[in-house]
Amino acid sequence: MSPANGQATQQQEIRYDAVVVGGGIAGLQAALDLADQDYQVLVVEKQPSIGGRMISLSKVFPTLDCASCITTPKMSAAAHHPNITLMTYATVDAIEPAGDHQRLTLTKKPRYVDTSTCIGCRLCEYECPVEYPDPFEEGIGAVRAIAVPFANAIPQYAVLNPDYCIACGACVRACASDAIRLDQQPETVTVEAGAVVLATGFHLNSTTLKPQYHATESKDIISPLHLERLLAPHGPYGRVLRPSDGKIPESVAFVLCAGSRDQSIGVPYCSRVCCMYSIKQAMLLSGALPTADITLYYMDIRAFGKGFEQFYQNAKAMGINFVKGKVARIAPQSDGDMVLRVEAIEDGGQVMENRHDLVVLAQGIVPDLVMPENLGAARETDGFVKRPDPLRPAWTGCEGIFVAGTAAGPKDIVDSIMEAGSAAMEASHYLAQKRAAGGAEAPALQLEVIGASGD
Amino acid sequence: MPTKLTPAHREALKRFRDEHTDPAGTLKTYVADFRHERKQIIEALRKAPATVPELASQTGFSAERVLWHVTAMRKYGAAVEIGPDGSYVKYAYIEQAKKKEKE
Repeated sequence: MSPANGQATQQQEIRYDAVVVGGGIAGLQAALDLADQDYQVLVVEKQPSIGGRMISLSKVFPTLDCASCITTPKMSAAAHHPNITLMTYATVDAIEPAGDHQRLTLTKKPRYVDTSTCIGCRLCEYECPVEYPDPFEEGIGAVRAIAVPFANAIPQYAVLNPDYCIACGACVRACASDAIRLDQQPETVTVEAGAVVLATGFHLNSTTLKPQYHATESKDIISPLHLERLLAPHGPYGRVLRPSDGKIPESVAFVLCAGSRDQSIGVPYCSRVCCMYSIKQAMLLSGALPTADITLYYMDIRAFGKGFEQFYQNAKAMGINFVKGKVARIAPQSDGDMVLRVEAIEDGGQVMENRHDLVVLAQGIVPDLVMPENLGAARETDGFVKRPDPLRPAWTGCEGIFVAGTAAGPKDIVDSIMEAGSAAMEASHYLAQKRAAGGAEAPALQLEVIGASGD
Repeated sequence: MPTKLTPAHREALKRFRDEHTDPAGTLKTYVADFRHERKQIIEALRKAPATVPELASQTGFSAERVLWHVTAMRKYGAAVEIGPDGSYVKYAYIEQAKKKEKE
């Protein structure tokens, strides 16, 4: 084990033509497209593994292909690409123009594990005595204080959560390669790059935004990402159970537009994918729970993409009940069920009260990037990254900074991948123009690490 | 081959403890509750396989908390699901499940 080094400065001579911020499906696609054109690319990901939201999904619509079967090869391709460097568990604090390139200030969070010697064997995880709610499983599963984040995580290195570590030393003793580094410190890293692609993704807004849905009062009013984990073949319960007591659900409700198209919660726009992922989840649920009643409450179904309408019709043919009407109230009952009050528009406008034992709120998509201004880009009034030129949809309006995926607005996986390709082409064109103007070689770029050296 | 703790390891552990103090005792309380709950659930499962509401009623913990523990035990190989029981699922402690398998 290396001794505590105190404050130290590392200097490395590294050339990065482009930095991709975000290692989700859009970021990985942009990085691969740039790297295939022989550009040196750095991918910065805030989580300990690349893969983004997509790696936690069960299946994709409308093909019902396995999501991780699509994502894992992309993750692997990026990890093994000779022109791509992955920097996981790191955040981008600022991007500033510096001459004809961009200067990025990054913070590399400590894993407390030496990634040059960790072999991902999980011996530390097996010996760790503390478990906490697993963020990858949306809190419904458990993970140990030191663990490889999930089964197909890339890179396969353990990460220690200091908030739950009792410093018992069990992981240090268990590690066969002496890779535990409890003296690691956060590192400030400065990188200079020719171009930047922002692919920072999204998160869902809170289930508690609408007080009339009483999501704080019941653990069985869940988010779609919870349900994705329940539906995943390697999900936390190994089957679909309701989180409050482990009951096999008999009547499941999907409430569409529960976090979008609603001025009262500050999300007036349509999140574009909720109709289709809810229909997909309903279809998967009807396979997992063949005897369960499944009902979708919707304002209108927006099946706009190729094959989407047929997908919707297939769901109806499978016996999934579609009720047109905005749910006004969800009232949790003492027996654990919920009563949904809704005006059935296509049934003479009568007010119905239906009982369900699991409710999924289709929440709205909001950008993960709270302050794009810090990353050199402007934002729209809805918070997504601004794209001023409709003929250059990947350009942020700032020299050398491009955007891809849901950072620019809600969209599905296919559109995110297409947009990532477009952002990579814009970045590639920009870099080629710079090279042509300044000579054949890209400028030598510096990677400066300030802080204690951890690994 | 497990690693034997060296003075450098002990120094790093000490530094980690010094840097991550728990003045409010939040982690201490969490870990104490976690161990207590896990022990009770294992003891209940050792007696007989049970569903989550059965375990909740035997241990006095909330069904949600019991489900979380059973989920964790399944993940780390301490419990197995032995099939549906009405609207719920029955779980067994791994030692008991293996014993039953041999029988």
